Amino acid sequence: MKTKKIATRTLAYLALLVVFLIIIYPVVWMIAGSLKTEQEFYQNVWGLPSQFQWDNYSRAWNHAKLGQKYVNSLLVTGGFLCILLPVVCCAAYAIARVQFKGKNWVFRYLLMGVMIPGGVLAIPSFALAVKLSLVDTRTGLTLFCVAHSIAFGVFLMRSFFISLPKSLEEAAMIDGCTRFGSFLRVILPLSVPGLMTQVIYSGLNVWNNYLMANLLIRSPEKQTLPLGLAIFTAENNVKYPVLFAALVCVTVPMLLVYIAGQKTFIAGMTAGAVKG
Amino acid sequence: MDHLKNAKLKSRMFPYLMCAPALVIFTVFVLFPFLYGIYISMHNWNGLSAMTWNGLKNYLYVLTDSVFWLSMKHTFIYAILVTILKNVAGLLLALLVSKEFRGRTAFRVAVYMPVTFSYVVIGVLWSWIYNPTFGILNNFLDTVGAGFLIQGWLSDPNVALYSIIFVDVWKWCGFHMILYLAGLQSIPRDLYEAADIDGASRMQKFLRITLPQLNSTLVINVLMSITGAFIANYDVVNIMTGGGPFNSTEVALTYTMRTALSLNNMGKACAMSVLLFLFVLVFGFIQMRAMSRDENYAD
Amino acid sequence: MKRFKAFALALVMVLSLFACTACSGSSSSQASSAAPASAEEPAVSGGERVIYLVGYSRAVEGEETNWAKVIEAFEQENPGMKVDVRWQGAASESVQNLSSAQMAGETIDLFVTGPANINATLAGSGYLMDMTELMAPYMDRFEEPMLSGLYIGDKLWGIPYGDMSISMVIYNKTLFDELGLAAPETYDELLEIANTLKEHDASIMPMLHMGKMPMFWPMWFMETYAQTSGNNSLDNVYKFLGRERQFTGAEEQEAFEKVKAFYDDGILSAETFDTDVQGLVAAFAQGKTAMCYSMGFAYTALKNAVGDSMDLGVFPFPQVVEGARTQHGGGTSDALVIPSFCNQDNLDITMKFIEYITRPENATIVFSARDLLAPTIKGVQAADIPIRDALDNEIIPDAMQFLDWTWPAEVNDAFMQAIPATLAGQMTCEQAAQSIQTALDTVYSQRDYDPEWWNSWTQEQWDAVTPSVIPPDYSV
Repeated sequence: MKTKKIATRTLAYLALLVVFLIIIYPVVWMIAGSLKTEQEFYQNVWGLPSQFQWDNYSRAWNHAKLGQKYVNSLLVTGGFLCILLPVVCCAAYAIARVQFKGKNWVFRYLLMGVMIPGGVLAIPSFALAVKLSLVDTRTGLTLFCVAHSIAFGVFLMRSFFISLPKSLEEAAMIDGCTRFGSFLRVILPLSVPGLMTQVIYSGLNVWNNYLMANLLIRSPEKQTLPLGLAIFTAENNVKYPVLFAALVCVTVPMLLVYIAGQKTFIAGMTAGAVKG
Repeated sequence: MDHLKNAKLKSRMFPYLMCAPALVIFTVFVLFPFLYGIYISMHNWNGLSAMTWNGLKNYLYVLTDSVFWLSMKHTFIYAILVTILKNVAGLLLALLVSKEFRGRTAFRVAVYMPVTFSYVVIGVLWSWIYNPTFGILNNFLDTVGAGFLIQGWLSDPNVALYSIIFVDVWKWCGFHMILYLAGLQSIPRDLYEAADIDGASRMQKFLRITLPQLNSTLVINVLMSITGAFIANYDVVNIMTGGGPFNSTEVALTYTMRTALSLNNMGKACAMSVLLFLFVLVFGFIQMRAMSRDENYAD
Repeated sequence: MKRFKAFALALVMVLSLFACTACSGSSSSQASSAAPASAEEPAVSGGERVIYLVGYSRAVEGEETNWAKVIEAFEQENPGMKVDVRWQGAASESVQNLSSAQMAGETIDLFVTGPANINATLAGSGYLMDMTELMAPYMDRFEEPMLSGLYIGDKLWGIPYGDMSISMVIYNKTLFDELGLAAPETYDELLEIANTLKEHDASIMPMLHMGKMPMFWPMWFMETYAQTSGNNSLDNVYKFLGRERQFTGAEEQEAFEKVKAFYDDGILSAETFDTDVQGLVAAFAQGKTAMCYSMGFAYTALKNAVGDSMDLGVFPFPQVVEGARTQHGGGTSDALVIPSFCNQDNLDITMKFIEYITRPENATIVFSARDLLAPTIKGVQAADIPIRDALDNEIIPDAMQFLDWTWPAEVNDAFMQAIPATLAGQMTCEQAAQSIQTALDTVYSQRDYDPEWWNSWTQEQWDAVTPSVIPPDYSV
């Protein structure tokens, strides 16, 4: 009995290790690549660098002016989250917990947004942006990204809200809260996992978004990070080590956000003790 | 009397006001461009000169385009495989990490890393891994004696699509793992305890308790995988193969963008987008109808 | 109650923010459905006049700095004139970039684009200014062959300002010398070399091509077709586009077969279909391939990657038809065009700037970061690179216009699919030729294609692209 348990555990550990390596190795390779010279990169693709070329990082940073682009990306993604989360939560709450005429139509209408293909419809979006004078503005980019994430956000938050017991608001309102107050004070805190999911999914998509950003942002000083990377990849002669250095710079913050966020996320789930 | 009427009005307006911002933003920034896209689809336009009215001819051209149907076929295969794999992988990984073990956090972080990568990173990374000349995958297979498994991962038309599917799953399995993990952890312990008392086996507990409790998580995950395969896989396919070789990895989105940008046929591309939307609409709603149980949806 | 009011207030604020952005002073003009209107923003800022120069991101490191240097010198020589330069996006996004700019009401006075776009989309859509008269005083500054493809319908639509883009075979000279091999002139000689290479090292790929990038496949066809058509390929293509000639004849099929032979005879291998520029460079650097058929930029990339570890040489595409003269696509890498929606009040200073940068000494500065294969401006020195002799004597003299600058995008797309398909055996050469014909037929029936669009333009369309004023000759 005990041997069986040990065997299964070892097997499980082995499986985890394999998965871990499959996931990790490409990342290690990218970091190693960022520290090689160009010639070494092509001649020794998979090994470790013989000398660490730290100046690839400074070249990447300066050539692409990553500092400025960081700020722009932060503004756009931050603004995006600040607008998206309240908008989505309010709408999803009403749809999930309030009976009103046309409720289902509103929900279906917003849900269709999940089904609209990206890509080609970005071009009519540009025509609209021109009409609204939102071309080459970070505000415009933020608003378009919000709009594209509303459908998923509403869907997600609604299923969170639906799973909460009805008694919660009633209890709060008996204590003198308004409808909206009970929403803010009781329901929202229990939905933190849903909010975090949107942060790490929709927020990530906006951080990495290239298509809309490329279309709408036209002056170099407003460019976000993915556009900055395009300097390195849009050529026929990609300088891989420097590109990888830039990629490492770009990816690290999202990783940190995730590491910070996942603890809250899991904690929220267990602390909330909400029936899924 | 007035006070009561006031309160009643407020309470009636409340839901509409709550929905208003979402509705306004969505309508302006998503619906209007979509309608304009439909308008464009009825014209012959190269993106530069004047538009000429074409009626529904573009739709006819799309439906008679063999490459379009090929791309749809690929998209369907992609959607089905990717959904199954992402959800199975996500669930398995979630089960693995739901128990405490040393290095659990590190593992969770590591598995999620690919999710944070932009497609530029993914495309570059995997193009090199799959490279037939000196890609590490073929090198590795050779070294461990599995040389017979060596393929032209991205150059063999029979294999290329599946290579890309693997990359897509590799990128997103961490995300689905997180969602399933959250779902798993919200299942009340006492259900399992009760089952233990009744002497249920692991498999029975899984099938009778875990899966049903995960239903809403499942719905979200499946919906995301399926719709993602239809309307969000442009970047990954484009960067890895650009739709080649010989259209073997052409999916709906890459063909649409190619028609718009390389062939300068905006009208036809918009027609394709509209058709794609209709496909996804039908497909998506069928899927949700089939899977949702606890929705006050049919009210 | 208070919370509710607060929320309503916030809502009103958000919506009014909306209204503000929508109404905020906009001088942007929306694209009308007629030919593009010129932008309304005056290019004046504080007494200065500004020229707006836009182009895709410079591929060569240091070139942006060089441009900045020349611009600064221009501004010093011409006080009161400024050049606002913006390098943005990829070369392939040039057309979208231009159309977005026009839709958004931006002013662009000078635009850098790949020349293929000129015939493919830009000129025929009325997006370019007719430069014939504007450039009349300066035409002798350009190398004649570099003007290929820029004259359409007897009008000049762009000026060549870049390096020469020409196709050739680059090879590992060190390995060749080691094995006692000389550059081949005929296909049979090339085949012999391939076999010798394989005897020397069974795992080597004699020749590798960037097969993953579809746009380079038509080059092969252009070479073989030039030979199988008795050096009439350009003429044949014009006739084909004008519906006077079908593409399914013996010459066309033979051209496909000659390309296929490279694969069937083992010179090219299956890895080609998954190789892009970086894959090619890495394979060369690791000695896994000895030859590649590509263009100038590949030479630069290879040189950077291999460094001193090997010498590189070039030879022209071999003779595949006995006694035929080889011809390779060659032309300028970049063209400067004036968008038709430019600020016509700026034409005088734009022409001053063009005059300035086409002076040999200034062009030299702009391109100093490159190894110039052949300059577009007379008087600029081509780079003194080891392949100089081969270039000047064997390759450049046989340059002809790129065929893919003449046929429409759908036909080019058909070539990009058909050629590798025949190599891999997925299509017969007969089917390949037929697919080209079908592509053209489809373009005629589904789009309003007119290969000689300049003949059917209205007076209004011509007025939109004719400059309102021809500045004087600014030559110094």
